[in-house]
Order: sequence, then C-alpha cells, then structure tokens
Amino acid sequence: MANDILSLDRLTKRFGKKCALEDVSFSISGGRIVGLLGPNGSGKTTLIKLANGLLHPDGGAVYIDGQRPSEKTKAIVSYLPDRMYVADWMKVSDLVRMFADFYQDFDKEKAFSMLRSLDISEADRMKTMSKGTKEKVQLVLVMSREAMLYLLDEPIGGVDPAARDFILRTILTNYSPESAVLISTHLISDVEKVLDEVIFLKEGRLIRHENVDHIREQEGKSVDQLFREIFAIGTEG
Amino acid sequence: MLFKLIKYEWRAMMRSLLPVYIAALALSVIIGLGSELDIFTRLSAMPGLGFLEVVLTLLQVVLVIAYVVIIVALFVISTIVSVQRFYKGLLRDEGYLMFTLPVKVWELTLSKAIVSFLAGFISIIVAIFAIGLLSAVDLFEFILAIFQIPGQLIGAVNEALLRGTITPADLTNLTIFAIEFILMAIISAFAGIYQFYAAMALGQMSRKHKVLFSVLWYIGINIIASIVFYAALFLGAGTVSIMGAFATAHPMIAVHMVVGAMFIYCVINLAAFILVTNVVLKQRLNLE
Repeated sequence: MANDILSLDRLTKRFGKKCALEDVSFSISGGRIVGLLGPNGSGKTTLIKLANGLLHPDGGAVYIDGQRPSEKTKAIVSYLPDRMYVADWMKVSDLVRMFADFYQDFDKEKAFSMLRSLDISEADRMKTMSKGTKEKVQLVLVMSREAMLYLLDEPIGGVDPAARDFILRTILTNYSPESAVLISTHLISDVEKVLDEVIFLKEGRLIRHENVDHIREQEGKSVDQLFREIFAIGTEG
Repeated sequence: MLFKLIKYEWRAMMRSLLPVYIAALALSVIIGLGSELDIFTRLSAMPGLGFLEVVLTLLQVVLVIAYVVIIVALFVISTIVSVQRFYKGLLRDEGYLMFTLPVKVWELTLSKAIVSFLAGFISIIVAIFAIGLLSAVDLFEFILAIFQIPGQLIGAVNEALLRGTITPADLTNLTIFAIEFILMAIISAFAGIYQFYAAMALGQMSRKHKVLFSVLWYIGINIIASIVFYAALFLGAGTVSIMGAFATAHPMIAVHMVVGAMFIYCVINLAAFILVTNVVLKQRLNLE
C-alpha cells in the first residue's frame, strides 16, 4: 500500500439527487498505466476532478501519495481536463513559459521538441488553432512534466488517428516506473494496447478492476470485447 | 508563487484594460481639441458677444457631460473586468488550470485582488489625465502642475504655521487624518473587491444559475454588512461609557474616535470577505 500513488477510499459524490459516484474504492501503484473506462455519464470525469480537488466528495476520500488533494499533491499530479483550460489569447510559447514557471518538474526542452514533432509553431495563439491542435498543445504541456501521477481525461477524444498514435507513444515513453497514469476514455480499442489495468465504471459504481493480461489470458477477450459485453445497451451487466 | 500569479494576472488584466485607457485618453484629446477649435471658428465667424456666451455655456455643458461619461465608463469597465477576471479565470474553464497549479487558494485570490486594486488605481490616474486633456490644457503644464501639488501643499502648511493659523498639534492631527483616510481608502477598496469575490465564491456552490446566485449573495452580503454596521452603531451609541468618553473628549479626539471606529468596521469587513472567499474556494470548490 505504501507504493500506492492514487488511492480512493469509499469515494462518493452526489449532484443533487443524482449519485455521480458511489462508494468507489481502488488503488493504483507506480509504473502502471490504468484505463478508467465506462460510457458517458458513468462518473469518470467526476472521479478525476475529485482527485484534483476541483470538486469535493460527499463521502469517502481521495489520497495522492498518501495525502488529500492540496497544493502539495498538485505539484506531483499532471492533469489533462476534458476541455480547454488555457486562456485562448496566449501563445504556445507563453503557455510553455507559464508551465515552466509554476511546475518545477516541467521540462521545457521536451515540450518544444514535442511541439516540433507535431508541427505546432510556438508563436501561434491558441484561438487561431483547430480544436484538435489545441488538444495536442494541452497534452504536450501535461506530458512534458515529470509528474508522479498523470490524470488524463479523454486525451484522444478529439484528435485524428495519426495524432492518437503519437499521443499514446508519448504516454508510453514518458512515464517512469515511479509514476502512474490514469486514462479515462470510451475509445477503448485505441488505448487498449498501452494499458496494464482497467477499471470499469458504470453509473457511478466500480464494477471491475482487472489486469489487462488477466482478461486476455483467463477470459480470452480483449478489453474492447469485455467493455461491449458489460455495457451492451438493453442488457444487464 | 504569489508574485508569479500577479505577473500573469497583470498581463491578462491589462490586455482588457489597456485599450480602454488608451480610448479614454484619445477621446479626451479629440474632445479637447474639438472644443478648442470650436471656440476659434465661432469666435471668428460670430463676433456678437451674446452668442459667444451661449456657445461657451454650451461648450461647458458638453465638456462636463463628456467628462462624466469618460470617468464613469473607466470605472464601470475596470470593475466589470475585475469581476470577470475572477469569474472566468477561476470559476469557469480556466479555473481547471488555476486550481491545479501548486499554489494556495489565498494566493490565487490575493493575486487577483492586488491586480484589481492596481487597475482601479490606474483608472483614477487615467481619469485625472483625461480631465487634463479634456479641458485642453497643455499636457506638460498639466503634468507639471500635478507634481507641484505636494510642494505647494507643504509651502501652504509652512506659511500657515508661521502665521499661526494652525498649530503644530493641528498639523500632527491633520497628518494622522491623512494617513487614516489613505489606509481606509485602501482597505475599503480591497473590501469592495473581496465582497465581489465572496459573493461569486458562494454563488459557485449552487448547481445551477451560478451567476444569479452570485448576484443574490452580493445583495445578501450587503444587507448583512449594513445590519452589522447599524447594530454596532446603536450598540456604541447606547453604551454609556463610550458616549461619555465621546462627549467629554476634545473635539479632535472625538473625530479620531469616529474615524477609528469606521476604520475597524472596514478592517472587519475585509477580514470577513477574505475568510469567506478563501474558505469556500478551498473547502467547497465546485467546478462541475
């Protein structure tokens, strides 16, 4: 347990009468890439926001490296939200400088080299870019940190397949044995190959937390197949 | 980290306000020049004294209206931009970045408050210059006049001291009043800024209609602050020992007592607004 980077203890969050997360407990240790999978509205984004302290739980707790979310945990968590979270008047170079200013673990060189690989000019302003390019810039910023925990909310949702491959390669090559990655997505077939573990959420409840190898070997299925079985519309999981 | 936050907030704020400042000054120059030219053309065309008087009166009216419009616009816009910087920068999408930076909540709110305060201060300076330009005074003469004010003030005080119009004790009292009022102005300005922040922090806790609830909270806070103010006033006025001390005190001391009480009220207001803003955003942040 000492090695747990992210740990949820009976986490519960309600929005009015609707329960977005109910009694969710699990842990992720270093060196693991974990998929947080579930259909829309299953509580993935809520869970990630709670881990970032952007929402507060109604029950239970989130621990990051043994601590509740605070400015200390924020220094070791690299978060990619499901939306544009940078001011659109800023240039790419402004953003790189800003991240370098605030995050001690930010690697400027890495950021610029990734931007070059993606053919993004650092002099461009965010508002002049396409949606996909903006997402790439945000991902570059987030992945240029040497964080302990990466919380990526739908990192490949809006980009083309070629960029998806680049992003997944980036995630694979950037994480270290000490760090963990939690990727929320519903595009499972694309992400499956990089995952070590999967967590299935359904209507705010954790229904499975499994090793990907175990699913493949014991059940003879791909994660994608399992997902389709669990979440098949009109049947009970 | 606070300094870094201020740096980024300053850039974002000035991006919105710099064009407003430039527009205000440019407008003043145009109106100022226009009115000056107007005088010339009308003077040469219509030598009749009666008509000239009408023109000059009209011109004065126009100048006053233009002056009021520019000044009001400056302060309204800088207030709106301050509120908007807090709402958009912390409670909407950009908040996802700001609240995941490794900084403390009080640093986030203080950086915005300091920049809003500075923006308000610059608005006052720009307003003064706008008046100068509006009345078509020579700009350099105008700047020179502004810088001469402290010297003239000191000169006048010295003269009054020499002539015995005021005593050194009066001077000490005046200096204390000046310091008290400057401090009170600064504290009230920050209290005003944090009152907006507290209302928005409370408003964001609601699931829906966050803006509407922020407005309602702002009104609610105003009502509570007024109740506290009058309660304190009646309590003070009803306390025999305070009123006794007030009635028997030297008039100057009595005035200091009133100013001191107002000062304490401002400080309590500010402290309450800061506390509400920071505690709510730390414990009840709700970026749904």
